[in-house]
Amino acid sequence: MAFEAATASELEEEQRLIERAQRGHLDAMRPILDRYAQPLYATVILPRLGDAATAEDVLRDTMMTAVEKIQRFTWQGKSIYPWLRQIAINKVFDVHRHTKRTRRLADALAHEVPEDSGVEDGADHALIADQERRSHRDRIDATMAEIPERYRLAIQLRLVEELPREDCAARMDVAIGTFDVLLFRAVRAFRKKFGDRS
Amino acid sequence: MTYDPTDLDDDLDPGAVPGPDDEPTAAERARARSFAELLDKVVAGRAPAAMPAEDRALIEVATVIRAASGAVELSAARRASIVEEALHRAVDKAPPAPGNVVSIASRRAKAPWVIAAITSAVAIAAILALFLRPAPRAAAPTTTAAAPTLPQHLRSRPADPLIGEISRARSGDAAARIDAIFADRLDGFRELSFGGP
Repeated sequence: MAFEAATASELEEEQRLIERAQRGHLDAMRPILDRYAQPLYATVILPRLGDAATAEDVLRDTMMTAVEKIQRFTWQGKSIYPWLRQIAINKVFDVHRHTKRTRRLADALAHEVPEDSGVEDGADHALIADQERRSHRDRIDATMAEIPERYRLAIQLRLVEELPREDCAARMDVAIGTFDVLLFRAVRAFRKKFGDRS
Repeated sequence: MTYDPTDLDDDLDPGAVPGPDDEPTAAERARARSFAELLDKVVAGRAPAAMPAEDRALIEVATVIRAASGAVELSAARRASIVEEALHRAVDKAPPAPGNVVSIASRRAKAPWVIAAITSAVAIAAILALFLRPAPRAAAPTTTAAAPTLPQHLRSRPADPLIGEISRARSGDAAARIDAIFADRLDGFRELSFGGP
């Protein structure tokens, strides 16, 4: 899914809402949060956590922090999205610090400096989200290149194309039980390599 | 063929991964099937809240791959719910400021006591009226026509003019609308009962 770039009028509206929120009308943040919830969830939080329930919690905490600290935000003629994204990344790091179960993912994230947006300062949320998705995709492709081809195909069919197991098995010309074993091994192999990508 | 015998540092999955052509054991087949069925649930949006740590670690990796492919989205209803919850929690924690959003939680905390007090007052007034009312006259004329007409704001009426059209963006803010209606009706009750708001 590609996110739509903000127009000049949308930026003006965003600035007006932020100024209103900074005057104490916190309800004015609602349209902003609604607009950026999906790119924050899909391109910033979930790819770094891998757990949908935890990702929703982090998204909610990110929004709470943004509303509570809106007075600290300074409008510089660009979208508030990079500021929200930075809050989200800090929250993700907090989760990784407090839980040990995602060690592999945490290792994979270790090279990412929280302050580094990896994109130009003036870029709007659509550009940032697309760049971020490409960056995740590149890291995943690089890991995929290190696992056997049949494992790559199993992951591609089931997790990227999201075909049903029966269709995946048919495409690989194996029984469904054999496909289950291939996918299981493929995800294990991917996981072992993913943490080494940093 | 063994896939990567050097990678033994993982406490959740310490064994090496067999190669694609290695024959699986019965235990691995069962484990793979269990994982596949769990993944089916996750893809369908029905992930169980609890699962073994080993499964969770693999599901997280699968979700990362799916997310990078753009396959995972937050539903509109879920997004609206998260936004509303975040706003309400943040507003409840925020220090009071002029023109700030009024905390609904504080009103809610008082509401049961206010309702109980009003209900008690109405019940007492009804009992007193029952005992203190004048004796009925023998041939009392019908009073329907002579009944005083109450002003519009003290009579039963629709709440539409008070609330107005509810936009989609504010559809989740039902508590604020209920508060507004309650406050409006309470003003009318006070005016009738005590002669003023």
